[in-house]
Amino acid sequence: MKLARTLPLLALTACLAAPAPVLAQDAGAAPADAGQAAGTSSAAARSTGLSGEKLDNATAEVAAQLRCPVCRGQSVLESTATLSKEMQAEIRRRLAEGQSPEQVRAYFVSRYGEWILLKPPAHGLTILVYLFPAAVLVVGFGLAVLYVKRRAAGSDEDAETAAPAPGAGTGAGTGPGEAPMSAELSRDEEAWLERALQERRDEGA
Amino acid sequence: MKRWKALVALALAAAFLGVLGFGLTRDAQVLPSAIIGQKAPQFDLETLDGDSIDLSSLQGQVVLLNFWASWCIPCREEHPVLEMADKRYDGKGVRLIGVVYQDTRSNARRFLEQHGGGWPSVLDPSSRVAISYGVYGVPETYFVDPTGRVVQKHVGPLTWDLLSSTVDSLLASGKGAAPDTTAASGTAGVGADAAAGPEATGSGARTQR
Repeated sequence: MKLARTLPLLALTACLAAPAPVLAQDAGAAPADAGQAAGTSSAAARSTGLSGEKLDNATAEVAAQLRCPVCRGQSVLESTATLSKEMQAEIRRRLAEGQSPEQVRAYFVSRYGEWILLKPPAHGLTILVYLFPAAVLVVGFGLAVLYVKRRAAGSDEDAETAAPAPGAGTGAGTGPGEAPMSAELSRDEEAWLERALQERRDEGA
Repeated sequence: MKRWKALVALALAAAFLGVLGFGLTRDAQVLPSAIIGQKAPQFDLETLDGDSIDLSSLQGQVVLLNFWASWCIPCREEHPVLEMADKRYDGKGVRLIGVVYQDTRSNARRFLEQHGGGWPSVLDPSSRVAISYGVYGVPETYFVDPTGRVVQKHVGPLTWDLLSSTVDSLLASGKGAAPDTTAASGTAGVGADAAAGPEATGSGARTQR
């Protein structure tokens, strides 16, 4: 079947397309992952650190992406735990020293693991988190299409092979409702239909 | 054809249930540690007595970093284990260092006066060192090998069995790598003696290698 051949392709493209925005968004964090030494070689990327309102905003932004190790369900920004406050201070200190937000994130990942990121990174095993729902959706859709198509095709075959002759029946059991779905009528069917219509006409008259 | 499809469906369902089942066997409280295998983050901190300890100066020895606080109940529970370690491994190439976590100098001192303990404890302002090790809460203990690498992390109160077996194996491997480590001699019997030590309390402690 043509459909069967195109489905995997459809599934593949959908899988690739669905998490694309996520991947693009996380692309900035990728180099930070590679450099665990980010914590020590700070001023390499940006020599001038942030200050004032910019520093406040950048600190809040990074803190919102990190998980509070104590409360776990909250971000470091939302949490009122002492450790979260201390982590915020650490974020601020590093940003003020001139580290980029990616470097600060990478520092916490290098100490707490990727668990510390509230949003799982879209690479490695955790990419399944993004791919799996899309894949299930596509496969489910494909199966549904396949099922409907096959059902339609199946009833076609029934019509050809079983070729019932409704007209041959004694009338009561073989109404038009039982006729298989097919535009073309067999000779028997045509004869039956004509007879039935004629009967109605006679009754009306 | 029909049977083949049913088998595939069954296999997929079984695989999915297998993943879920595996998830059930895992303890959600156990968090992965990223620091194991890495070089121990350096620090130079002031002790409760006003001296200072520089971790880099302790290279060549096994270092036990024990994060604790006076307000922490499980820390009281594990304190005798640390005292025993201090007694047994004193002068044998093992250094026990307490890191006071989110606590004041006076409270930490009072705790040690009450419970005893002759090993040094350093103060960690703003928990910078705790964060650099990836500490979640106290007590947590990090085992650092003579080359300065974190080889193990234990969350929750230590047991003597765990501490002694870890330290002994570290001393033994250090002996193999550097034959001049005199400290390793005479510790072989400690592990055996340890069987009489405190039993595991099952109080939610976890060890990661």
